[in-house]
Amino acid sequence: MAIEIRNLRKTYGDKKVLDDINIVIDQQGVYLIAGPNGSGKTTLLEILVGLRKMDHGQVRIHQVSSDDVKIKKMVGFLTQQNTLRRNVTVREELNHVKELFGLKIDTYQYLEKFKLQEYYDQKTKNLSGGTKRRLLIAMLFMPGYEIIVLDEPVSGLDTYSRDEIWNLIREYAENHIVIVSDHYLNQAAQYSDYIFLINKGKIVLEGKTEQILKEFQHDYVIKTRRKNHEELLKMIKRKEILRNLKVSGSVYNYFINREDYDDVKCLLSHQKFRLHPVNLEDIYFYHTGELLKEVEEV
Amino acid sequence: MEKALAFIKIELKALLREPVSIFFMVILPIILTVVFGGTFGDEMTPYGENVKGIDMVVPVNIVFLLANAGLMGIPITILELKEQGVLKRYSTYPINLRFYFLSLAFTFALVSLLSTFLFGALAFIRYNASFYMNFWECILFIFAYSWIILIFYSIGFLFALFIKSARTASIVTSGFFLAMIFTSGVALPLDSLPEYVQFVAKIFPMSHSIEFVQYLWISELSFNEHFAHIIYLLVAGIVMLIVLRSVKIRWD
Repeated sequence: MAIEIRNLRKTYGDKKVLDDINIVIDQQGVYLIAGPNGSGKTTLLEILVGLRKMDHGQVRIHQVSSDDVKIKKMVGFLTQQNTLRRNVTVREELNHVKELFGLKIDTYQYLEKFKLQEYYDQKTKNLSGGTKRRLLIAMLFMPGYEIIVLDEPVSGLDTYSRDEIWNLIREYAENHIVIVSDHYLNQAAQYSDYIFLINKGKIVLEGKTEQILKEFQHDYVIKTRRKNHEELLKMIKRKEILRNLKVSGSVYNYFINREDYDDVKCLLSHQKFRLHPVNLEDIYFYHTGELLKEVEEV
Repeated sequence: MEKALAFIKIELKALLREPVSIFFMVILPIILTVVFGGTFGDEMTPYGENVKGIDMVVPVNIVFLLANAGLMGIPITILELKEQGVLKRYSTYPINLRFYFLSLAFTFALVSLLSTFLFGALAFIRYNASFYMNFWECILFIFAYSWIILIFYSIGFLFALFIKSARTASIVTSGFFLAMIFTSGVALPLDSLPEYVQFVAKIFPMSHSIEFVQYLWISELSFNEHFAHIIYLLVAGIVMLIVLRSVKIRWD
């Protein structure tokens, strides 16, 4: 097994951050760890790469314990923060990694696929957030680690930059194991092979994207604000639709089945209601009662 | 060795591009040499025959420089790197973080040495400073220079371990450095200070370092007369080595 996490537990003071986490990964691909802020994703990843100590359990990478310095040659890590030196250039950062790992590459040529060549002699402090992120990813890929772990690599970036970075990650994952945390679940799921949904330190659901969607007991969701809820409820009752209601703040979510779709499809033309096929964020919400991102305008 | 060179190269570039660091480590010692050299560089001192003011300025400047680099430069740099997450990134590389800090200290030592050559050359060329040390004293001077680096850089490193932010470090270390200057006997004669201040001065390494380097520089160091300073510096350095070996180094 490439990665094996068994009965992992971690607390900060009285707060349980990770509670009996079990993960086994033995194939190349992108593994997504998704959950809202504070769900324990970062702590889990930092324990995996040996940056933090666990309270209980076992974390092994190719049979080597994660607190063994040897794993630093096998696993690369991208932190949430932009961790570039401020007063050095892109060239100097890349050459630094090259020298530390004894690599024999042309760092300028290497930047081509990351579309960063034009920044080669610029100081890193002058780069935009997305460019800094791409550079850090380029630096992370340089040593050719067998496993890489990225903590919210697209957080705070615009949609275009997020897609660019996800494409780079996807490409690296063709021959490597890539573990990524993110809270933009629907977008991240498009690029992931396997998903672990984590909430309050526990894995609440895991599986392949299609498998999770397929096995979920409902097919559609209708969303509305509280002020429109009565109207929706009357209609649902009138048509005797089997439903499952989940409320988050002022948003009401009715999970319904495929056979009832025809009865509610008239809602598609209403501004007050949103009807769409169930996606991963809806499933996450269904299981945890927590939303992964701000509720879209209903 | 290649890894050490890689870190020294990047630290050196970052340090030389930091205007505040360069001011305190290179420009200020030159200004002090020009100001004190021009004011009383030619005056005779009570330290020995033909020993002029400029001959006392150089050793004091050396200790100030090393103390400044160690007490302020090292902790502020480390805490800034910590805040930027750079230490966290380095912690994921297959190196020991202790090894990185050694490279950082070596970089500061290198710039200190360069600065010493610059203001030293100015003192000799412009203000006719004299060179008194013989071969063995030169060897002892090199050892003392390195040993004082060890003491001050270690104190700076300990500051970095116990202070949370670069901003706090800047305030705390500036206060500590000023306290050392005023109890060093250079800004104000120690005898004129209250007894408890004189006692504090003896706890700090600054006054001992200045006395030791001053007398060594003018070839007047005597084991009997300067026994207390020699013992203090030796013990302080050894204590620092022991403390550094025992502290736990973490990226956060």
